[in-house]
Amino acid sequence: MASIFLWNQGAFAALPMDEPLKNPSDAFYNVKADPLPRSVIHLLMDNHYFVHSDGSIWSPSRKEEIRKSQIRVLIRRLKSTERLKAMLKIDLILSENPNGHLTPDELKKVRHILKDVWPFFTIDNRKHFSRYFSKEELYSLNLTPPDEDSDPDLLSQAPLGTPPPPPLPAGFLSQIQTAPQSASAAPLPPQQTFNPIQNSPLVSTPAPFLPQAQAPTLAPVSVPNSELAVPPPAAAPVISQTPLPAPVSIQTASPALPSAQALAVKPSLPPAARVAAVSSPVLGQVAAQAASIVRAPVSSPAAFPAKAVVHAPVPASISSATAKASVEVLNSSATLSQVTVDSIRQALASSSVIGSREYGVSKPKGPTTLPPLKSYSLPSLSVVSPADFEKFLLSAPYSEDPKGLLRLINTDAQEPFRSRALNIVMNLTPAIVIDSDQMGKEAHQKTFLKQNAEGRFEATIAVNPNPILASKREFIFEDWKAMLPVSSSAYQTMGVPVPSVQALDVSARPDKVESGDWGTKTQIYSDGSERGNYSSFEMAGFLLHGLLELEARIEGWSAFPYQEESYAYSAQMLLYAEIKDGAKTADFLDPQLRALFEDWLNHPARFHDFIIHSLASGQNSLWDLRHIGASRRDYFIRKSYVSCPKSLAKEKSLKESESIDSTKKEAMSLARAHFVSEVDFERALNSLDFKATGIEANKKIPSRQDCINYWQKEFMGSNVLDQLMDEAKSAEKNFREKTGAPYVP
Amino acid sequence: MFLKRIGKKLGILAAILLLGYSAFAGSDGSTDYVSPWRDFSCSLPKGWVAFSEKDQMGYVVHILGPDDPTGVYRTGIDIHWFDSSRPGFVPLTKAVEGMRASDSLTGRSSTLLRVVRGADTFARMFEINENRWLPSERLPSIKKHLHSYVAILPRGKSYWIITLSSTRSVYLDYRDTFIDFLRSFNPMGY
Repeated sequence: MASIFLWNQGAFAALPMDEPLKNPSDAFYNVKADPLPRSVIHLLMDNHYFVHSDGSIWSPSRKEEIRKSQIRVLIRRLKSTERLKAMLKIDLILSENPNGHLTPDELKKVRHILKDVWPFFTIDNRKHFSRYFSKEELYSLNLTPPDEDSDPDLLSQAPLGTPPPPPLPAGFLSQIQTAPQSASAAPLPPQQTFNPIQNSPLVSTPAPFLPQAQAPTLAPVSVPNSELAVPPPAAAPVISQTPLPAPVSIQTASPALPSAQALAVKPSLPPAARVAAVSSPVLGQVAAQAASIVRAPVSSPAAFPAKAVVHAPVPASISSATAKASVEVLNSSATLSQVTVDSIRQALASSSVIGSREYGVSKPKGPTTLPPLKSYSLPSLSVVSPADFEKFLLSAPYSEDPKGLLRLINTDAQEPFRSRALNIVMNLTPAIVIDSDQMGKEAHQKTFLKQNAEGRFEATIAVNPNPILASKREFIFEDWKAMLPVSSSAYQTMGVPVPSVQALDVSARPDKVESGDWGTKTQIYSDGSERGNYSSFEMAGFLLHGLLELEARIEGWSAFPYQEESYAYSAQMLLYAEIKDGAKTADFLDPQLRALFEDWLNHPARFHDFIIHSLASGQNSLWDLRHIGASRRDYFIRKSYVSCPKSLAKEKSLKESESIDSTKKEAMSLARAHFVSEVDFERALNSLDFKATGIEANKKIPSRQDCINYWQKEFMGSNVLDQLMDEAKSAEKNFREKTGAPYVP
Repeated sequence: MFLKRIGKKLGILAAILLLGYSAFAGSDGSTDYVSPWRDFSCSLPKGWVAFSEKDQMGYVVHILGPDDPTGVYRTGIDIHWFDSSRPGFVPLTKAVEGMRASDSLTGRSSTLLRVVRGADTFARMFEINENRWLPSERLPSIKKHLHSYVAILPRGKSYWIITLSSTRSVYLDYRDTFIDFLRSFNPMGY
């Protein structure tokens, strides 16, 4: 993170805030005195500048207040950064569609990105991307005037009467000065020095990213540099009078290209351009241009303001966008151009499979290139009519108890959860077992899924009918209450003996049977333990939850269990709300679930907070902190995908280790509540450590194909998560609007 | 080699920027965070992770911290924005009443209200204790005491509710964390 700070301060902002003040008369900027557009205020905030209520603007470190002389350059740099980020994001989306067809979801994303960055677009940018919007949309978008960053004077000229920009920090200068030398000192492999024109591929690909089959043309990019020749618009680029390959194709680094013919490096190019050109002719050109551009201002500031136009003849749209984005970076931070080009290339490589193929950067080792990750949309839902399902139930192979639960789901569950669950029942007919022994360590429902030899899914859902409750008193201080698993396999997994609780002993006779909080006919034993009964209404909720879990596993959405659980919780709570509406009471729920339900109903914020904190805990392990947020999730999957199969081996190892940690914590919970002795707990820890050692010793690197399948499935799950969550939120919102319940925190 | 090394590092940084990561580290190890709605900034405790989502009342930012020693509840801070223009909005006094109301089902109880100084304004603060079965969906599930520090920061008719919740066994460890967090909480804009 510290590095990001440096990046922000040094490269993008390029405005060292700790520099001593050059002009004492230079006043601090105040947005109240000199108002800035709202979009610019937001831009500053996004980049960690603080706009205080008195109108002053502070640097991210909060140590320096921004001066009038700094604000213009600062805003220009930040705008340029925004453009770059937007173009890179769009490039990532477009690069997944080499055939040129964006899915509606992708198109939505592109439009969203463009709308966000539109206020910072120059007029050329706006022309280029206007095809993504209707005329009406463009009218409202263009109410904000275009950015004037294309004015080359802005690169070199501060507002009149302001002091010159502060010098670059010494660290940056030394990097710029030393890096090219070291790069040029290293001899290049002989096969990398060849004529770029002969080796540059001539096949250009159609525009891959447009909704229509329409290849965009890249508008000329103005770059201020007196050293650059001004070529005619249709000509190949001329950079310091050195011809570069033209046209450039995104196929340059395709697997068909022999390694001996690897990409062009013109010895006469500056070192930075050579480094970039080895991997990518597209970026190589940009780097070559940049290298020529940046040398002048570093060594001779006087040459900087002169103008020239460089036409980047990039026929493929992806390359256009990338090249343009790269030029943007160079515009915004000329002195760092060499490393920036390299960094963009590597960032794209690590973020996108297509990116790595396109730009020819280090590809993952393996015999074949990876297929692109396919985006996936939630399939359309076929609504099941109550009558059709009732008809199905008449001939369904279920006993009366499961049929009763399914009828409750049919009549009381809310859409779309109802149809999703019932579709699974009608299409798959999973076995439904009401049996505590099958539950393992699950409290309410458990799903089993396997594929038979014909590839057909065979599923079972177990629903828990009897909670087992026990309590232990720690001397006189604390009364521990616990709900325990019935299944002996649960204790075996934890490595502890079954606690001596009478309710767990099938041969023990209850002292009394009475109705209580934990259901009618609750069996109460002499040691105070209880075997309760969940009501059928409550079990219908468990079954609904289980059916939705099953759907997620079959469809491949279960990669991110937090969202899956949240979705199923929404379905379950909406079902209980409907039942409560009829019964006028929530007493059909046990105290644990009733507390959750009351929170969900009356204090939704409290409910969601509780669910997040409990599901993100170690015992649940349902929430991987690496995955928080859609962008981090996406980045994580892409990064893992390109490093197959090692990434899967690492992931499996991590999951196994988490699972063992979670089991240790479960055993610890039992030991702390005195259901297991300290000695037994120690033994359990030892056996779990031994198990972990065994797993580590037998660790195998999975096959590349398994790895690919795994991450593709994760990607697919990731794609539909937001849609699923939107579905759940929308159903809850409709319910709350219908009931008119206040939203009490 | 040098160039490659630098390039690789910057590549990673570029990728992070690409993802719009909106936090960065300060010199003391804490991380500054700006809400995606750009209406407040705060310092995240070291190692805590923040994410945000929309809800019916506006938005919520969750900041997740360390796990409970038995792994049943992750300590964290939740920041809810209650926008007075949204349907279902409850005025501040009623909201405080609702939050402090006791509940026999969970043994919920609250402490008296007091006023603490935040970064930009005064906050009303109280604490809540309650019992919950944890974990909810897994066994063994133990009835645990949970504790929450709650602060309410009004902004016109709307307000933020900031809660730090943890298991009661560790809540004292986070008292200073919560106070420091409140001090760093900076409503933004002009």
